Amino acid sequence: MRISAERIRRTAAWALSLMVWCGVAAPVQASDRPKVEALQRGLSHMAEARRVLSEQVASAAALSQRLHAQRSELQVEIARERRVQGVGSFPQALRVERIGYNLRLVQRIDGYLERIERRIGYFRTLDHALEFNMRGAQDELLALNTLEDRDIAELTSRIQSVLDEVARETTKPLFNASDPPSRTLELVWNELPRTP
Amino acid sequence: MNPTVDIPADAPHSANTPHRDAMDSDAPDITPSTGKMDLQTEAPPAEQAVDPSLQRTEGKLEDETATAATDRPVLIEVNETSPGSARVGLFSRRLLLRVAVAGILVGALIAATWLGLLHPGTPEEPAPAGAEQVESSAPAAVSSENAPVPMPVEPPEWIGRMRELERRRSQLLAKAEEVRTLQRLYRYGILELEEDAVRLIKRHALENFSQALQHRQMEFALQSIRSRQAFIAGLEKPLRWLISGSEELLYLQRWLKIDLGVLAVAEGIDMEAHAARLEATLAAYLPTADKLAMATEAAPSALEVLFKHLADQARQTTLPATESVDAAIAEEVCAGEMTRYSEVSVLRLKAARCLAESAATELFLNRVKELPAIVAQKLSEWPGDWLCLNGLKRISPEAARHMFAWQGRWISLNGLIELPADASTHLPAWGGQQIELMGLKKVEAVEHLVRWEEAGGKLFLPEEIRRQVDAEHRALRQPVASEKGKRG
Repeated sequence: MRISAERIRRTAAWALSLMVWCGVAAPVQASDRPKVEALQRGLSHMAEARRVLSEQVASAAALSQRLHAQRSELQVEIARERRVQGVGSFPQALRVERIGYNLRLVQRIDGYLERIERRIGYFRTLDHALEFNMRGAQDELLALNTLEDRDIAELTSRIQSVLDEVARETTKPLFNASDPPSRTLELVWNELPRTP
Repeated sequence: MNPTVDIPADAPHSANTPHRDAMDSDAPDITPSTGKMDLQTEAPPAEQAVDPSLQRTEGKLEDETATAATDRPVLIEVNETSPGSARVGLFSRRLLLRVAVAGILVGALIAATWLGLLHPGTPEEPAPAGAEQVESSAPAAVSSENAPVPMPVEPPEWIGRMRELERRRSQLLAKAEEVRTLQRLYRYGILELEEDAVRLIKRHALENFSQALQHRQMEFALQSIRSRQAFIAGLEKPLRWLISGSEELLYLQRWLKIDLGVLAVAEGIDMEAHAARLEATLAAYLPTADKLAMATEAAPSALEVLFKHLADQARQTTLPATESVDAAIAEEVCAGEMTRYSEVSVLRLKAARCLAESAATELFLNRVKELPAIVAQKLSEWPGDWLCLNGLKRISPEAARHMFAWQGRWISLNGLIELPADASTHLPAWGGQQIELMGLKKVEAVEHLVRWEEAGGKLFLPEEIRRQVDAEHRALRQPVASEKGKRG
């Protein structure tokens, strides 16, 4: 009976300490909860940002494809005119109106394509940054659930910065059409294949 | 992998703790990175949901409890001296302990839940700095609603302008085609006149220009040639203008199409400049009478020069014996009299033109032995049905090109003994229905005949050529059949 009473006392003491632990632990976890929620919101925003970026990349790629198709048509026409008119040199080419005009259009399309490709590359970099930060946030979330406290200020600041950049960049025009072409007409002419 | 196997049921931070459930319920993105979260998101079937080891433990507990409940009383006086009573006392203490611990745990859980609910969600509690920053990032800022979608949509105000561009370009192209047709007519007219002039030179043995001027018919022919040459040259200017205009309008159209295609996503596209350019170009290329006026700057050829050229031609020409009959028939045909047309041996340009302009549906020109390309071109304009040229033994590639561009149905070329590849190459494109080549002895490119027949044309061929054509047909079908056999 003595042993039994001792056991009960020990058990009571253990239960009391458990209650005390619960009383302390619960507020600690409660104080981390906003951080958890903030990270979860950040994750949600980043997921949305990635979706928007993905849409933008898809749209830009579709546009690029359309421009490539238009360029191909012009290129075929140039090659045909070149053959029919017996055009050899660049000055001769400029004298054939259809070739001259098509070269200008190809030059313009090439400029647009270069800028669109650059933009797609930039969006992909942004997406990588978001992916990296999502990974960081997920790791931090796991740590927050285990450890009592974590400083997430730097991470959230970084996330915010990327989100701001995505928000800013995805609402901006894809490219500037008025930028001067990067290649001369003669270079465009020289790089075109002689056969369609 | 079944996640339940990997997760110990009593793990300290097990995913199936109520607190963890509450924390992660709205964060599905995290789940892929931890096996623990998979337990919640990928709920296994009911019979697999419980860890087998846990099942075993619980089964054991249940058995023990059942045994305790049935075999042993819960309250029993412990006899220190009796080992059996000591065993019973020990068991009852264990039971008591279990009840106490269970009660404490339940109490602790209630307390923790109560505290957890009370504190964190309260608006008074300031969020960490980092959390605030994350909250401030407005999701709308990266919303897809703001994302421009680069679809090539023509703004409504541009649809009309583009149509106007297209209309004007079509107008210019149609006018250019009219001018070209006019030039062709003048050229043909010159050739007709030259043919007549050569005949005159030969018939009257005109040696020099002064002799030629004594024949008014010759003088008029020369003047008409000069006049037509002037027309052709004069038409070059409006033709160039029309072509330039259509090319510039096409360039503008294409440029606009490219820019309108990227307008939704690009900056720096000056649509006002586009509009101004378009208006200016449309105004510049309005086909008015002054813009289409023929050029008159070119100095007309001297009649003497023209005569010398014709005299040279005459020296190289031998008039056929049937020349006078052919000339007479040509005159009749051009006067609308068609009774003797099939007797013509040499198809003069004038006769070809008049036949092409006739309302006949069938033309039997079986005495014609030669078909110059220019004559073939003129005959190809004839809107008839059946053209018989069975007197031809050979056909030039150029003449074949014109013949197989004819819009009629049926051609008889039964006099042809050979068909060179550069002549037959135009056949597959011919839209007619039937061709007779019963005199053929040699075909360079059987595949051209086969292709035309494959496209639905009906070929009449001598036996030997038919064998070659059929063999080619079989050779073409064989790979298809063997392919089908393989698939079958």
